[in-house]
Amino acid sequence: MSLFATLGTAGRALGVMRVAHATASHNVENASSQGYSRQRVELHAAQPASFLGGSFLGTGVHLGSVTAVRDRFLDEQVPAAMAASSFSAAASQTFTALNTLDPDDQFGLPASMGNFFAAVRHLSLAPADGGYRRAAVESAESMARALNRSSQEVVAARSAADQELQAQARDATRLAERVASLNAEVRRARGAGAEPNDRVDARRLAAEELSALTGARLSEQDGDLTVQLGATALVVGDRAASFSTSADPANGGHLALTVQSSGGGTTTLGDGEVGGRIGGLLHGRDSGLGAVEARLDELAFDFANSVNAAHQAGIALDGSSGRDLFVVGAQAGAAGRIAVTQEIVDDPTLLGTSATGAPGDNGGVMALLATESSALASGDVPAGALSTLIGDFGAAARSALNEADAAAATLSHVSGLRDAASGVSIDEELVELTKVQRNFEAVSKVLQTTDQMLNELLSLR
Amino acid sequence: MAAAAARERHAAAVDKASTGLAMEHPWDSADAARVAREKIAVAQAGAIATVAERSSEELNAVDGALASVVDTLTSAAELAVQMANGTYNAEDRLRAAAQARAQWTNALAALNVEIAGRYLLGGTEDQVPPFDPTTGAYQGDDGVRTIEAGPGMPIDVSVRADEVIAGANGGVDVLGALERFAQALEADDVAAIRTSLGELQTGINQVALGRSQVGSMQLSAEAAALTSREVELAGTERKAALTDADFVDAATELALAERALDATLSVTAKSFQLSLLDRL
Repeated sequence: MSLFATLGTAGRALGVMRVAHATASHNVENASSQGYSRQRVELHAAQPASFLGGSFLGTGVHLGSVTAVRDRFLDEQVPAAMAASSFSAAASQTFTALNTLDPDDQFGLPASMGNFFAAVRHLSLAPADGGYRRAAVESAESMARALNRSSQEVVAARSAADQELQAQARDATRLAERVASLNAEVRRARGAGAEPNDRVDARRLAAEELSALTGARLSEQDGDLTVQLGATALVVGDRAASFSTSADPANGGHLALTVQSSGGGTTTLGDGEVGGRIGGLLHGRDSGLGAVEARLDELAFDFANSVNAAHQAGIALDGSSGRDLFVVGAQAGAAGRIAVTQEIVDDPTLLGTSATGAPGDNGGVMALLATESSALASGDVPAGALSTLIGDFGAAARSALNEADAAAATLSHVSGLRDAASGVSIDEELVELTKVQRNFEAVSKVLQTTDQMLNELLSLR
Repeated sequence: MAAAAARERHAAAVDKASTGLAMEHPWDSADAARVAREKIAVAQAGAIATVAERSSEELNAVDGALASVVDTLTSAAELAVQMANGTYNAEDRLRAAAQARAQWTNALAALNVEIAGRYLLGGTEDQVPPFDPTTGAYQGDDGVRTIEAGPGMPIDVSVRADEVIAGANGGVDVLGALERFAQALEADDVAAIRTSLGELQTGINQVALGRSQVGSMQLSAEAAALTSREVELAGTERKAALTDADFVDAATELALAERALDATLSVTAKSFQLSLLDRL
């Protein structure tokens, strides 16, 4: 090989070293970038081009490729872990947003129910007493207001979930479009003969965020990243689905999630049909809070009807009877509507306390007290129905919190494994930079030496 | 991640130590339903106890009234024994009649006993005096008031004044007997005085029997009050055991959480120090 050929080989080597340096530098600069997979330069010995004296002579170093270090197994585990963690976190957050069922709250439902029956009990001592009557009516109003407050808080929590669902649906659409756009970019770059590692990382990051939102499955097909939610295609090639929300009259006006797939079909997704954060919101809103709302309505309806049935037989101080103590309407929305009959609020003498008409007879009051230990339509006494509701809600919330903790731990573990496999170690990159630097210095020496040899030849006379 | 988890545990320990509550929300403990149940049961027991205590006070007042009537009837009977004696003349009996009339008035006043505007001896007609202030006629009814000694367990807390005083169902009208005694004295009718003596003695036994009924009711009310207060206290203690944090445990938990957070932060800080950046 001629000295000039050696110069050329050394020059090419310097170029390769610069690529290696740039790659290590890129890794260091992106050490904290989310979703970044460290890149490695693959160097090969160049094909020997000369055959001299019975031996092949090498022609330096050749840049193979710049590849991203990825673990396909872990890349498949992380989206599923993210989806599970997001689902359980969203579900637990909707549960724990509710404070109205705190069992020892002095203004809560158990306190109000206890105070109502206590006030009625005090009334049994002096049924005609104006002070005891007023106190009994006020305790009934407090009970009604406690149910109203509980219902309003549940409704507000469900509405807050609706608002977040709207925002998450917009995010999901944006992410699906981004993945589709990046699919096109990656395909174009590969068509030009290059591997766009950073674009691939960005595509995977967007797809994982989409999976965390929806619980969708990711798969690679023909170089494209496909995102599938059950039978619905969210991203296929460069086509993306879009998400929208609309009020669902069958669900009390709460939002239903609709997805128009990348193929054009439209599907409405309910609780259990979508995962990720959106699935967690739907689950918490409908199966969690929806169940609480329904049971509060049932309790208010049954309690009011039980008390009213007893009160109708009671005779007021003016001799009249047949009044309801509570106004409640239909079962749906009963907890938000229940109130003491305004006529009785305005005039507590209309409280039906007597069974005989005599002002000192407390037969009507005893009948009201009997409702405390009488089974409601649901089969349990009022205190039992209320405490069971609180206990069941607590158990569901605790289960959601435990699931969230477990899912977060799993995600942390799997993410840690992936970071260990694909993440950037500053120490490793500094060692790589040092290697490249020394290699560059060595090749520079080769250039220098070859140049001196050429000078020697050229200075011969 | 480890630091975030340690910080969360530390925050929870601080919350528990500062509030003194081990359970605030339904998801804090599997005993949430029990706490709700206990809260309602404590209110129930407290109300039963309060009503029983007040009923006991009313029965005490009724007992006092009946005791006063017994004393009055006893004095009247003694006067009747005296005035039935032939050594007394019409003038003496006339003076004794004034005394008998005063005794009637005293008995009437005692029998119209009230507490906070509610008359205690009128049965369930408690808004008007049970005995007419002019004639002494009974204006109440035969109703008996009841309260709860326990949930769903009624006990009587009023005596039937129509029987004990007004003589319904074969008894003696006590006020009527005093009136007839006064009239006999005014008429200087010894035979009538002797007849009145018999009525007065029957009246004493009748009212004394009424007192024993009141005493029995009072014992029941006091027992109900005592039992319910004990139930209330026990329920309060059980609820507190479920909701309140043990301060020693909370302080220990806080100390451990602080140590764990400190250790995690130290390890995290150390990991940043171990880097080639400082050595190249």
